[in-house]
Amino acid sequence: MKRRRGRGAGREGEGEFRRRSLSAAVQLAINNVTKERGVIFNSISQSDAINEAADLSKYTFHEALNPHMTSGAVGRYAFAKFGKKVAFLTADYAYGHEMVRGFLEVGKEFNIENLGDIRHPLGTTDFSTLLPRLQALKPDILCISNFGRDQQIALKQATDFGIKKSIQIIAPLLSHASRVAAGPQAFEGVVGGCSFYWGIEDKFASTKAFNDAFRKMYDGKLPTDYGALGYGGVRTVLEAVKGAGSVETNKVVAALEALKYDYYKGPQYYRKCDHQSVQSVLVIKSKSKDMKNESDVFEVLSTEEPNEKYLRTCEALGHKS
Amino acid sequence: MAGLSFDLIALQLFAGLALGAIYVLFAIGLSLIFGMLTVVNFAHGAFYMVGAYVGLYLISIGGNFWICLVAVPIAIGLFGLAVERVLIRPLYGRGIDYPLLLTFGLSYVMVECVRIAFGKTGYPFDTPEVLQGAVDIGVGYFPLYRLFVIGATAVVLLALWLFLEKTSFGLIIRAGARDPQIVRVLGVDVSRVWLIVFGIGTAIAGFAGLLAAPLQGVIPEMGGTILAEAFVVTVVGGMGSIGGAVLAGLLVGVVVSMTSLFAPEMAKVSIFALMAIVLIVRPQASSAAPD
Amino acid sequence: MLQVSKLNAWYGASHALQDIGLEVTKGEIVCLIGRNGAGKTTTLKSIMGLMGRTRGSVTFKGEELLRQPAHVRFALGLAYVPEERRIVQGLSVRENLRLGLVASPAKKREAELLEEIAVIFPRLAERMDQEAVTMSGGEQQMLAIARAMIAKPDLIMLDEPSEGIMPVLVDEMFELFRSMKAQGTTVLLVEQNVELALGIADRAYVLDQGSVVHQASAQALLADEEIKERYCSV
Repeated sequence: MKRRRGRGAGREGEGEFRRRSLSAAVQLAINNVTKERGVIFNSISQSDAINEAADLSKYTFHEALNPHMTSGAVGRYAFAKFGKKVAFLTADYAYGHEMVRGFLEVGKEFNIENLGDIRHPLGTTDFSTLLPRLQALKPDILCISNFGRDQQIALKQATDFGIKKSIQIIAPLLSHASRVAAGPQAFEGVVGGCSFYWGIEDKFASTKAFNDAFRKMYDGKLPTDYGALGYGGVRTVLEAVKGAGSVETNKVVAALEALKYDYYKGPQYYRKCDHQSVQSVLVIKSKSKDMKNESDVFEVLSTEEPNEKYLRTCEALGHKS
Repeated sequence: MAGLSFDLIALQLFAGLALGAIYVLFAIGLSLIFGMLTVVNFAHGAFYMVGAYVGLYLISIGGNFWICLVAVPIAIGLFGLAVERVLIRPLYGRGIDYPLLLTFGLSYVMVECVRIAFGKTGYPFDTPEVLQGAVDIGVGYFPLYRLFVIGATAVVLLALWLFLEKTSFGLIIRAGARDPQIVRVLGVDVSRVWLIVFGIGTAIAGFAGLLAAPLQGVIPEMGGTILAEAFVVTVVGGMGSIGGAVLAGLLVGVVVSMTSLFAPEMAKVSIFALMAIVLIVRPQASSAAPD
Repeated sequence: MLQVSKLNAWYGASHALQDIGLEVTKGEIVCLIGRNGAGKTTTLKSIMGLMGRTRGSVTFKGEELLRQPAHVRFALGLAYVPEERRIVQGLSVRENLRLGLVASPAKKREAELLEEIAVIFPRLAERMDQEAVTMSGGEQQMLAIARAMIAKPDLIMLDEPSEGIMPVLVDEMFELFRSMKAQGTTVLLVEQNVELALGIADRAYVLDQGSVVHQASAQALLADEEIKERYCSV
């Protein structure tokens, strides 16, 4: 899997596959090129658009969760448990918008009351001017849909403002790396989703095997969510090539579509219509005490089992059945 | 969304002032250096970032936040002295673009060195225990640490004011910023003054970085955003004007805060809109004389 | 006290001074006269160390100055009042005067010296806490001179002190120069007002196009209409 830029990505024909973890916009741009060139692209960043008929191609696969699945799982857990009055703090780009859309959709089942959605620009380093307003709304739940450093800073500052005293903070995705970078204080008690946490190794033999191999290779360190996704994204394509006995693109695509796999997190498969990996979603909570090792950062609260009913329907995505 | 109460607006105003405090600290160093040396210090953000990392390091080897408040500005100030002496001094008299490009490049080198030493991902920086939590300020709860930041900024400003107004060295700086030649003729070794001013400016930048660390954690790129915003502050306040930087820093904080209340998506843009308005209405603002 | 020999100076590529030679002995008032652009100001700047490229020799009290920066020359007892007065904006009269002491060992006696100067310059004494640039041109000139004198230099160089100043104040100023001389201060004076300058000077050098073209006692020059006509008329 070579790294090349832009239009140089992949020749017509066979033998080249791409797997990238990038921001949604970059992912969609790469998809445009690979689609045109007939190159298989298995993407591992979160996007709803990549599943839609307009963007999807025969060559596009999506190993990652998408915002609809993530927010759905977290929403179903949180709205049942913490309350119905919800305020949103959202990064003003596709990822944030898609997450909020997902939360509002699942929120309908719970009759949640949307108190307001404050949008912030990407790369915001200070949320102090947004938090008093959110606090004044007096929600049961504050749903913070942003990622990376935005999320780290938002959670840290929400903690400083004492928001956690009366309000449950939820986030669609809690990334392992962000939690480590921001520290236990900032993430303490925050509930969110993820596609993988090493701690499920008690439950799945595949996870145990993956963790052990990873530990061996990296001085006893444990894989993170995105580490696992990267592995999964490559492994599925590799297995499909083996299964097809060929690197010819069309054969590999057929093999991927037929794949029922469990390589690191329990059973998964790619749905036919949109090539979305149907998989479990973990609902997790950040720990601040009793941590056994530096990777022991989350507690798994519940697992939403793989089920197509948690995905947007093929019709809604614009695919003809 | 719920209506705007008086309390909320007052709290918002307060949040703006607290935000402005960091801008002020960052911008006065920038302004001091520009006013005296006519060096546009593009590495100011990197000094700010290194200040946060030095604090992180000191705490990791057993220091505490209070020691850092003293040690970080000293360490960054000394570093600033070395940078001026070795890198910037040879460029005096060669035009404003030479030191500008040098400091621009230096900032990249500093960020890269920190990435190599500490890694690319950020680190958490815990708020010192006694300053954790929020307190009731009458109109609502406000983080205690942010109140501390306002107080610390006020102390630095007071100290700087006393230094500039009440000491001979301060007199030299005030005069030298207006007319370096006359202070040379009156026997002052201006290169020494420039050295010290650069050291003071960078020391304050390091101090600001340390204060910012518990607000947002530390990351090698943390100096970039604030540098862009602080340039707006110095343009609005007048390049080289310390008093202007103080007022403009607070103004920018309040503008961001009030925009956040009514149109949060516009908060970031509002800073630059303010600069554009100031430049159009008051074109001489960018070159106002220092005071 | 001051010996200048074969002094050359350049502004970029233009050769502004060519082999200037002059001498000032202790207690003298020496005057440099000549047309605009003759090199008078450049000579003073070169002596003070404000010119970029110079060659030759400038010795003061026996020490070679040419490679020394301006602040070292000040420390040796050389003072300079530039043409444009250079009163610092934003500073009060008192602060401008204190600026004359910041780099001097006499700083310790600041209060005493400020009082002394107030006696010599009563106009300034009245305006100590006023912002200096709000004063009239003549008062600012007085302040510039007072600022250069306060640390008691051995030699003071004055560039066009009478320029743009009311006649009443000019008289007052030249009266001051006489009393400075009486107290033993040495003065090197550049002045457009030739008659006035020669009236108080002991000797004078005539400059033209960057060279010394004539030197004589002030009295002799006052009488020499031809030289004055050739080199000093505007």
